[in-house]
Amino acid sequence: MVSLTQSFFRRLTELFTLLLLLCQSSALKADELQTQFDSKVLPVLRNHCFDCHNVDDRESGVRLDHLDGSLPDGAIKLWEHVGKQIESGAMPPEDHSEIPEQQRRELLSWLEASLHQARIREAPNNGITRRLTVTQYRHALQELLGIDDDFTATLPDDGISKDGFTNDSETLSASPLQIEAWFNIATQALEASTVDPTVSPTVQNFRMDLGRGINPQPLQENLILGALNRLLPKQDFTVTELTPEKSFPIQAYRLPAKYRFNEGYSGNATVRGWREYASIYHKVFACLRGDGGYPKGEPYESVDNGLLLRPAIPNDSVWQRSTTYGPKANFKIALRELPRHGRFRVTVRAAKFDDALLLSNLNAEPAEQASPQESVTMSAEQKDQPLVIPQSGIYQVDVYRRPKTEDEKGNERFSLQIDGRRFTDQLKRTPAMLLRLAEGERDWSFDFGRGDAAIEKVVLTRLSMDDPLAQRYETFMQQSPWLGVYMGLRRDCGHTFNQVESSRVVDQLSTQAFVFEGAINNFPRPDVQPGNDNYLAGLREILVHSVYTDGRDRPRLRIETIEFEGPLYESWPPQSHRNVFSVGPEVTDELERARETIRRFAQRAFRRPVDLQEMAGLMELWREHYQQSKDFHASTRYVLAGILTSPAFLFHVENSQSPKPEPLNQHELAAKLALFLWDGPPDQELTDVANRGQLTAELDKTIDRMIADPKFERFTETFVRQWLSLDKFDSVEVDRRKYPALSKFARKHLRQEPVRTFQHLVRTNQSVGKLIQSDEMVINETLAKYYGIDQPIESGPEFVAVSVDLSHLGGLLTQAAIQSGLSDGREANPVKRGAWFARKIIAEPPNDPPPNVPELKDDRSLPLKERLRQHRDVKGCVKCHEGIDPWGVAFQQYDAGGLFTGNKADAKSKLPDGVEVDGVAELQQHLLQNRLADVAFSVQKHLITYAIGRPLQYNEWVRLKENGLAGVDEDYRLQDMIRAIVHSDYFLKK
Amino acid sequence: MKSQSIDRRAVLKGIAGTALALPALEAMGSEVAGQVPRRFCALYTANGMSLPKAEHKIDQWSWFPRQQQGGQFVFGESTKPLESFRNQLSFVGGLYHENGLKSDPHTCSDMWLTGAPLHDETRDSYNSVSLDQVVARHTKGHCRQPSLVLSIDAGVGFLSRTGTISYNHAGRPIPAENNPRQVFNRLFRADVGALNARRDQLRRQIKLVDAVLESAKSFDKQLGQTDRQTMQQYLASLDEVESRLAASEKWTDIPLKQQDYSHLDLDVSPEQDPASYYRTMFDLIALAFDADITRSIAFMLNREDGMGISDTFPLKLGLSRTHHNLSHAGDKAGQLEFAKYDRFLSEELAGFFKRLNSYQDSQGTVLDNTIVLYGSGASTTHQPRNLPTLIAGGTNMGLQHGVYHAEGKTRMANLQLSILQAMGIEQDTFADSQGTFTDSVFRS
Repeated sequence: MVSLTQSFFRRLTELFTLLLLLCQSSALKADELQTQFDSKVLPVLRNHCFDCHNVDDRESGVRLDHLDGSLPDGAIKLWEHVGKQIESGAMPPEDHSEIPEQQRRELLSWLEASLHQARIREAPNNGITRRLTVTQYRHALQELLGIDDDFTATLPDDGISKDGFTNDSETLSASPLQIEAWFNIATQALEASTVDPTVSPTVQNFRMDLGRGINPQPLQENLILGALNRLLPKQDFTVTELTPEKSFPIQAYRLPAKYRFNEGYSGNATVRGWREYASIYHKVFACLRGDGGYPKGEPYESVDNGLLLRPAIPNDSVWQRSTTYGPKANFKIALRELPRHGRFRVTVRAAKFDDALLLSNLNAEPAEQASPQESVTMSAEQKDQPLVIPQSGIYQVDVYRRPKTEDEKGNERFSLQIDGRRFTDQLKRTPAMLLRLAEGERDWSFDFGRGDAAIEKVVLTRLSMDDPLAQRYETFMQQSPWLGVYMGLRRDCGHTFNQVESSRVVDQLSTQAFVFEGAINNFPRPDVQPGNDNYLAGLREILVHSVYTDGRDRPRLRIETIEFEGPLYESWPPQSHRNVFSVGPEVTDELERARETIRRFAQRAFRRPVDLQEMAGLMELWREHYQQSKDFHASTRYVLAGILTSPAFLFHVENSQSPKPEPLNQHELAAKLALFLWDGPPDQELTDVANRGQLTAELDKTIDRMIADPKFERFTETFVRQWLSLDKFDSVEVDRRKYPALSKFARKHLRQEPVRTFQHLVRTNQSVGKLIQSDEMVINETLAKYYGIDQPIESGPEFVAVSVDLSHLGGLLTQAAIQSGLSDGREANPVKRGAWFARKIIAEPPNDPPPNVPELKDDRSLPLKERLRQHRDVKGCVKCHEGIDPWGVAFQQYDAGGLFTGNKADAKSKLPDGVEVDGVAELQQHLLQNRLADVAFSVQKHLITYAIGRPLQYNEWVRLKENGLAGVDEDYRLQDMIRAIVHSDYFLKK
Repeated sequence: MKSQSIDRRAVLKGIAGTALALPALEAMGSEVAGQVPRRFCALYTANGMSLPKAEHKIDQWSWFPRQQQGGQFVFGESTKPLESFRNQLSFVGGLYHENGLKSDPHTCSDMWLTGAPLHDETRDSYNSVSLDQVVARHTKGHCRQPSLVLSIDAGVGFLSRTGTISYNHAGRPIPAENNPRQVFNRLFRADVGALNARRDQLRRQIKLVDAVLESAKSFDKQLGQTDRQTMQQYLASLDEVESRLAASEKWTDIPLKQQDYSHLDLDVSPEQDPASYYRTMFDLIALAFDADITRSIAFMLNREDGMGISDTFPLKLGLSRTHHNLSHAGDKAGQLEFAKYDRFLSEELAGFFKRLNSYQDSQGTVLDNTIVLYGSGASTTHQPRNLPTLIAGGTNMGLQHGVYHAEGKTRMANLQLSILQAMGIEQDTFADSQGTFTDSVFRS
């Protein structure tokens, strides 16, 4: 079955060829068509349509009585709709008289010819103004001022265009609400980025040192941090306030020494009454609040030189399904004071721990009786004696417990300590663990929960290197923990936090420093008044995790110290201040200084030179303010706030002088390129090239540089998310009883896969066919586990390209973020999947559903297929669904969790283009062999629409469909496409 | 302490007497005066209401009304004081916040007016915008200040133990005020210095907007054959912002409506007398509405989980346990006492409604033009289902009262969206709404 849309288009194309041969004069043709309209079409419309579709009665919102034969661009959509309604027989409706066949045919053939004329008609090519999207505005503001703070939370979301994009000039509105927000943001941002240079800054700097018994004089009082807080023993950490070394004078911030609270806690209950405190340990807490229990070993453990952390197993944070108390293990510093603005730095000194592999879940055999060269036996009585290791190597630890007496119950926790290393697990069976030991005399000790006397002996036996257990240990130690730092706030029922930068691999056994930085106000922060007298109010948190990925055994993360510094200043006044007040007091004339400061700022803000008239207006504003305030900084900031709310900053403008296509000027080109490839403003280098007038000449070099830049990832993030409607996956409510593996944590990773995949394919300039089918996947350890990929990935949370030899994976179409996002969270939905596929992948979008179509019934008693059938049988629906559903049926092998089920029975489908496939693999083959040009067209169409910030006009659409893009061959390589778009008239002309 | 040496009431009367008799609405021109104000007031009470167990055989003390008889419901003992307002109020059962079911129940007051997904521990925002602030954004152009945020405790508390129910559009908590005298002074006795500073600030803003507007216009003129639709829209919006600022500036010159303040007791302290404290706060709200100082007010009457002074109110009223402890009570005596505390709150609420009815708008009473949403984030403590909810007033906005809507389950956000729409605020969604609440009360 061939869809209507398609048949219509195909016939049009045939007609087009014919017309080319027959008729070269479109002006004459237009006249003829108008004549035909008057004589053959209008009477039919008048007789059969106008009764219901007129200026007063707009049945289904459609009015027809104003149409004439000229088919202006604005009426084409309506005419197409009319054509489809009449052709399909949906109109006139059953209870009205039919159009006689002859008249009907005349009308349709007139319409096809007219539509064709309209499509190839050259539309006037006027420049556009389009507002920056919220994201582009955020980046423009941040880069202009040199700050990381995000001030855009108060801005309403941008509208979404029919193509799914937020950067469409037509959907980007500028309401009074937005303007008020822009004014507020401008003032806030200028205040946040400037300082009083004559006052030396106050900086908070402290360090927490971690280690078993490291604090010889711990606080005597009991500390309370509410329920389930798991405070670290007070002797196992110290807090030291520091003064950072700077090349300029600073004030070191010191936590207030004394404080009193009225509201406190007794267990989980609130109690009232004033209490006084005078210790930093009532201000800065070290704790591990999070879910209890751990599948193996202890979640955390103090050793001589630090705190050991096992991976922080995330929980769902959904009440009564899990707790909301956070992951385990969840180390954090909770404290009452942190800076209220600016950047901060958290430095963690950490190492991979020389760990033991716990064997409690493994059925291994105890070691055979071995020679003294290879094994050492110890007993409780010998605990104080040094242990002599005969030879360096990997040792198996067998722990022999005396037989349990009948009344013996309870704690079976066994802890082995060797030279300050410490390994703890429930003693379930022996061997207990594997570890590496160096030759010579070692301090050692063990303790056992039931009392040491219950242990008969501990035997250490060296394993030969070809022993499977030794190899297992080697594999284990080859893995590394990943260090993640988070900032957030404490609440009584858990936390709110977000990650600071990305996780770092910690692959050295020796301690190294890892630095994490961010803008403090971009992280969840408690808002309490300074006078709040509740003991637990307003606690902020710095969290340090060993990052969880897939749950495999890996060596623990040892953290030794955590240092905080903020606000972080590298110079005084800071760079952000100098970005605003770029002219120093060496220019003594204040008017001159203001003029130059304002000019430089405006030029960067406007992404082009500032003209004299603009400058005159700005300076007048400055003078007026200065006359009253006599405050250079205040007057200048006032004017700069005006710059940040002016259209030259808020809008991208392509100024055109005639309806004829004109080339963009160099600054327009630079700005348009940056919006396209960086989702933000041009950097200095791009501006410099434009200033030199060399951008057109150096276009290729510039594109290369821009794609290689990390800012290019902002393009892939925005474009892919919007093109593929990935927001559907973010909002789908998944039935967790059916799909327990699709946790919030898994989704956080899965949602990145399409973006990372596309990014990789562009950067490596691969064919568009790889979006359809590929042996390569761009995944991380969490995704490998979700998809059940056995081969080791070893990239932690980082996405890497790997070859995967599984035919049901690879490409975009098989990704969970897509297939699950196009379900209802319980069942696969072929209609959603089909409509998405037709719209996004082959650019044959179905019509909008007619008005008043009932939603799919939520009646669980019928199988989905039956409900879909009922839905389709509603009058006026069936035709469209024939062009949608068959695509979706081929994806029935993927469940609502986005995983391959292998169930082929349901996936047989006769596609709208007539080909029969059985499942996705055959669909992929069909697309690669027969429809690759259509897939390429769809990607190009979406890319161009995004790049130019408006939908394609009809003539452009036809041109692209017919001619493709110069510089893109039949491999349809993705980077070639981007390059070709930038070089094309679509992009370069206004 | 000067004010205490003179008769306080005389002073208040004196101030009112000196105010010029120029009603604000007339001065603001027909655009504003032509419309009767539409107002919103949210009143939150923590820890739920008493819904005694059947075995105690004190059903008449349940907060929700009893079964309807002949189309009318029967007020329970704990809401009986509200009976005379039957035609101006309705009870709604079956409400819940979808995110409330997923979150730790201690966050129920944080999300009562916002519906935010507070169970999600990795989110950028603290909370999301509250209903009163959505209202304020639309009504602020018509009155002196966007909103008034009140609470039994000043400030914001902290997440999961909030001290305010109001959150701005970025989801940040708005600090609440709790001192009647300070609120009164700020609203009704604006000091000249502050007023002048405000006026200067507004003038500067107007000047800046005007400068941007001028430069944008000349910028627009320079544009050639460019698609200028978006620019036109920007210019129109900028114009609108300027006129809004000009209106705000005008307010600073318009004298307050003449009102009688003699009934106010501004020295009340919640430490001593909860009843007088609530009465004064409610009186201030009524006065602020009557003078059209603001059209959006949120008041947190007491706090969850034993926080703050309000936990001790039942003790001050002669009951035997604190508010939070009463809400956990399962025994008959405890549940009865909890209901008696509910009744105390009903009495205060009735006083408030009476006061609102005593002030006249150009059409109807102030209560007729004010939607009051009163309720809790839990049915009894820690139960985020069947949220006790009472809606009053707003009959001039089409609300139909005198019903107890008990059937079914509805998202709270649907009801909240209906409130917005009743106020003429064109919005399709609020929080996680899935539609409007059309079953009753808002039935059009």
